[in-house]
Amino acid sequence: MGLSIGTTYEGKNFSYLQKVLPFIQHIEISPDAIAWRNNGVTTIIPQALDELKWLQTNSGADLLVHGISLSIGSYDGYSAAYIGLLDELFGNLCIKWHSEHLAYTTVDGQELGTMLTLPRTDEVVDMICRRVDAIQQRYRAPFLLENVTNILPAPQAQYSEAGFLNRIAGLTGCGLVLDMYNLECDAHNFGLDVTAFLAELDLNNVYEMHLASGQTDPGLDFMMDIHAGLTAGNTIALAEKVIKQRPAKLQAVTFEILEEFIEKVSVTKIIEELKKLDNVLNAAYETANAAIELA
Amino acid sequence: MKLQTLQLSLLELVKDRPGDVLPNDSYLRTVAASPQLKLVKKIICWWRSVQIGNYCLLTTSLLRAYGIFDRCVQVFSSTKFSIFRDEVGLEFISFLNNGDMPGLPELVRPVSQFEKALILLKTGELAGSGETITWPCEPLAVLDALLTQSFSERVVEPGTYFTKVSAAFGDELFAVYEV
Repeated sequence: MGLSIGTTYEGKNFSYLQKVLPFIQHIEISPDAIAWRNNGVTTIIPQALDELKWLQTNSGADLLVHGISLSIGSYDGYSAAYIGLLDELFGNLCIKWHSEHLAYTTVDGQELGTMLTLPRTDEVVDMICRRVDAIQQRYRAPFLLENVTNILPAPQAQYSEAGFLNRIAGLTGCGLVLDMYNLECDAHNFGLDVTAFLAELDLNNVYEMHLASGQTDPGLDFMMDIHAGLTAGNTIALAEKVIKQRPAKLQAVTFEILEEFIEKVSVTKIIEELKKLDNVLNAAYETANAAIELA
Repeated sequence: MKLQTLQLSLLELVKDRPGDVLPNDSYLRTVAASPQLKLVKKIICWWRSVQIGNYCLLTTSLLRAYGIFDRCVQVFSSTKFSIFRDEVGLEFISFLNNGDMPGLPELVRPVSQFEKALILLKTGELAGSGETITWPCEPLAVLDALLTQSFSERVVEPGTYFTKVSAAFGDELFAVYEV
């Protein structure tokens, strides 16, 4: 059994989902993208839920959930509305695992409008671990945290980037989503040593990798994680490097693309991308596992 | 620095409200002076533009035609808004109508209120017998131009009209009356 290759779906283009379905083994949905306000309450859009139920009945594709608005890192608590959406999804669908960003999007009840990374301190580790424990008690499926690209300069830290992830995963047993493009952004923007990061990170906590591309702000020469196009060769090469380490729990690779860019990139090219990722990454996976069998 | 203090300070910086930033904190001074902070604000406006543009088609079309969409989004982005795109759209419309953006062209109010009524009709939240919006011109020509991204002042025929948006009209959604 190889790696499951999948992509993101935002619940607005069912014909697109049906076109890519033959080429993927999982889809990853964001509760925030398929939510609406109905009579003052934020719930999952009924049509979107029906599509996902159809998917579960009519295809073998696994369903992964990857949110944006949980804001697990907000000092004043994470989003109850997001938990409500998760309750609705878990109550209606079979979800293989769910994940969120190790970051925050709200402060003092106000949306920042973007996602900021957390200071890597013991105070934050303690807070995050309590919240991860609560989430893991609430839902039976595995919960994963994703590394987020830094936009602002980081404050003084007690942990390295990898050490911070190791500490939280080690204390809670949660898994990780390793976003390869985010690592490249941090390398370009803030000098992260990706080789050292991957050597230090306990890759056995990684269930899933995210692959994406983005945009570069020309004024600042700053790479941004916008999910705007196809994956670059160097990002795929980085993913292969991780796969060759044979992370014990790695099962899936998700190609991320925003709904807004699907037409611009074209469905045909996205399908080609999914096929390429399947070929390249599963070849690396099989090679890595064959080496073990021979050893 | 405690997490609470850090996050509250960064909130003020990204919302362009730097008054409460600790003056003696070197890290926050670094962030305040950083080009990355400007980029964060740009990213925030970009995401709101995308959300609002996808959700409030008529209002966005009108504001773009007047060349004031980006400025409206920039000011809106410094206020409190939801992460959910349908809520952001309605919040943006409320923002345009609550006086926080003075000097808006006269058509912004009826177009945005009309769009809000249609949205609420679609979600089943339009109260009572519906919503009546007063227009300073014939509305259908304006709406047609907005839907085809071809609005200009040439399509504005002055007069007093009102549109009623109501579930009672079924698939037709609304009616137009000339005073």
